[in-house]
Amino acid sequence: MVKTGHIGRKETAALCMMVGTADVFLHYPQQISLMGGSAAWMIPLLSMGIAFVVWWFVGPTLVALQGEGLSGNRSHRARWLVLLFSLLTVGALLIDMSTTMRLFTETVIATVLPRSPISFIAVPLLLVVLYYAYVGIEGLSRVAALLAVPLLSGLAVLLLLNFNWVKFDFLFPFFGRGGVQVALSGLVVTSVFKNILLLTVLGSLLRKGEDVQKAGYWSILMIGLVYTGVTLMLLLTFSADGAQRAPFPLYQLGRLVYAGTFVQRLESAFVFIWVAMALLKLAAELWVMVYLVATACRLPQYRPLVFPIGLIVFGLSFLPGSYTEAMELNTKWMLMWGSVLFHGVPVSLAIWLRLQKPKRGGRHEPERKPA
Amino acid sequence: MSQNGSLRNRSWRTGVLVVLVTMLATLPLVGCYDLIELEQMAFILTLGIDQGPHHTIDVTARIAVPSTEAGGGGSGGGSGGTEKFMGGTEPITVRAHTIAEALSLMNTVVERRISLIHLNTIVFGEKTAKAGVISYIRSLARMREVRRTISMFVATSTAREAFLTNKPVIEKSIARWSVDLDQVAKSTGISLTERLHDFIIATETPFSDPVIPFIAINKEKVGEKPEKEKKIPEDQQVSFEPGKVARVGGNVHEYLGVAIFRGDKMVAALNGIDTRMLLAIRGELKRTQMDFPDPKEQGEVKYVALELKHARSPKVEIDVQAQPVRIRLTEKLEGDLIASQGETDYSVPENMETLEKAVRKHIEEQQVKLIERLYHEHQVEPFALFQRARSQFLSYGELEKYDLREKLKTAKVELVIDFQLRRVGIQLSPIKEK
Repeated sequence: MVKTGHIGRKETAALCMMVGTADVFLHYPQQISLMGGSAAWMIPLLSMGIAFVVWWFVGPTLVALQGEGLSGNRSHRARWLVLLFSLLTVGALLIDMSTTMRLFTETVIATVLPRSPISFIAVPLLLVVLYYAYVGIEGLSRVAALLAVPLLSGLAVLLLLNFNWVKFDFLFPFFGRGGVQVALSGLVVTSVFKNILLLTVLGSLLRKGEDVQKAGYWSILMIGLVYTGVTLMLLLTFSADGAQRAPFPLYQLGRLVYAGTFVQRLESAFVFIWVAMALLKLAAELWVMVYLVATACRLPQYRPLVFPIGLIVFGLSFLPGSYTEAMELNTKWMLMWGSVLFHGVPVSLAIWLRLQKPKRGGRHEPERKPA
Repeated sequence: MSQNGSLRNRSWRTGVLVVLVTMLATLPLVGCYDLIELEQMAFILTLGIDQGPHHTIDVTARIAVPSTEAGGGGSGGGSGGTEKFMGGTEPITVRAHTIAEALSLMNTVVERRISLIHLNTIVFGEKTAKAGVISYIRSLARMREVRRTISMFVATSTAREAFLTNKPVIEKSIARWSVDLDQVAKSTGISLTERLHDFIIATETPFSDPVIPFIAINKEKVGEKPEKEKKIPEDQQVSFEPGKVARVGGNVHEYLGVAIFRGDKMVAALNGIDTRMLLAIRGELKRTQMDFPDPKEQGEVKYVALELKHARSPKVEIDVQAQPVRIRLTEKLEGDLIASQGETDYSVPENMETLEKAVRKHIEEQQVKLIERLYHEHQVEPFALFQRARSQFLSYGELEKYDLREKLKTAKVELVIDFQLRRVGIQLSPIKEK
């Protein structure tokens, strides 16, 4: 069993929230606006409802897993299942992380550093992500907990500073692209709640079982509210017609701040929020990948895997030929179909665990030195 | 000893590593690739666009001229905190196919790298505005350096002429000029502020059309006679028409009136008074002073001046399914009497009521006339009234099927103005001569 130490409830919730909300700084609000039109703000709320149901089903199972971890003392068949779970998850996270990394670097070039070569942005980003993942989940989750309040407050300030552009008429027609379309989109956008998958992996690292459930509910609520707030403000300021053409909605909102002569041109300040969230998300995803690979391969340490897997992600991130290709890839596989893996895997695991009687007292692994 | 020594060595090595990594990290993190030296930049503050021949455009720019204060501008590392932009260059115009190409060509005659990051105003020539501005707006919206918060204007002749003739009376900073105009527009209500974002949103959103304020060039003032010979001709009446204000002195420019767009094309022009009515209908009238004929004075025409503002936002009721469409607009205005030429004592309730009725009637007539003119003649919707009717549609499909232009041709408007005089200034009855 890979030993990683323990993480607290608040830290877990903060990290899960960061992983779920980082994409809000990329093109997700634009895609949500495209799906729902003037009713797009309802989509994250519907998704949040679905995510709560999924977590209500998955959460208690994870409590039962407490102390064992995914690689606990299980049968031969169970280990193959964990291997399959790990491979699927790692595959999904590889696509998500590599496209996010590419989108992030392309966004930085398009908005802040137009003359910098892509490697000049991607390499420092990779190095920091590697460092965070190497240090481990304890440090990562503490940084997330430390930054959660300032980052969320900054986001709230950014949204509120655009209040002078708000036109409430833009929230009509009430059903936007149509009730059925909005409902279906709610189902699709559930994929932003990646925290459920993350908690499935991290759940066993919390000291108390109930904490896993609380962290899950809190992070789902926060992710849902952040997406709803951002989409709502985007619709109110840009209208559904404009929102669907804004590739970096939050950056656009930052540039739009004009609250008098002295309160304007503030987007640079918001770039820090955006960069911090992206870093935490990428580092957490990399850590989950290496942890799962180490678990599946029954390695005592995950750290030797950080650099090679990080390099694979870095290489994959350059496969799309352009920003729009990366965006299309991410939208198609992560936003549209991501929930099949992000939620399908935890739900399948929960069903299997509920059907199985935990085999206690099986083969005992010798305790290994913490990594 | 050996264990302590090994620990000491290890922490020493870690320290060196941290210092090295930190020093190396500073190289990419300072973003030197995108280094911009202020002393090597030419910041365009105002940009003008005129249609040229054979699908070309004439782009006119006014560039900020940094004047170094005592102590010098310093160099390197993005310093230059002592620089202040106190004025602009003479306008430079180049012909090109696109704005981007124009900026490149402009750099053939300007020795510093041209940048739009400080652009605060964009001016379209009237001919260009009438031909349609969407192609220029599309380019501007895509440019990283252009913000959607820049102000827009339509010049009553060409943008280049507007740049050439602009001689602000007080303002020395071209950067503050458009900020000043925003403030003036807010206080007078005879002009307004339109930002690029407002224009884009009104163009691409159903049920709305954009407006852009005028920079009107008073032709009489261009190449004026010497100071001594100046006087207002006897036959020239009070005018709120853009470019025709009866006056002597001041800037050649007049900032009043708005250009009304149908989609991206200018189709009508409003004078200063109509602009006030437009703002009142939209619920955006801040506080404005207006003259009305004194209803109590017989014989010689006397005027009263009122300061008006919204008591609350206008209420709009629209039956979009009715044939023809019926619009009922209720406005609640309040005002202060700030001047009265006649002898009537408007602190007396009966007189006050007479004045209120007259003002209501006057505003009502002007607004109905304006709405009917723009709806029936031009089928444009700059009032944002139909925006309020979006809630009557359940989905975008229904909204898109609704033929607004056709409905505007026959729309019936009913106006209910509720005006109340709140204060009478710092005097009760008027001064009586012995």
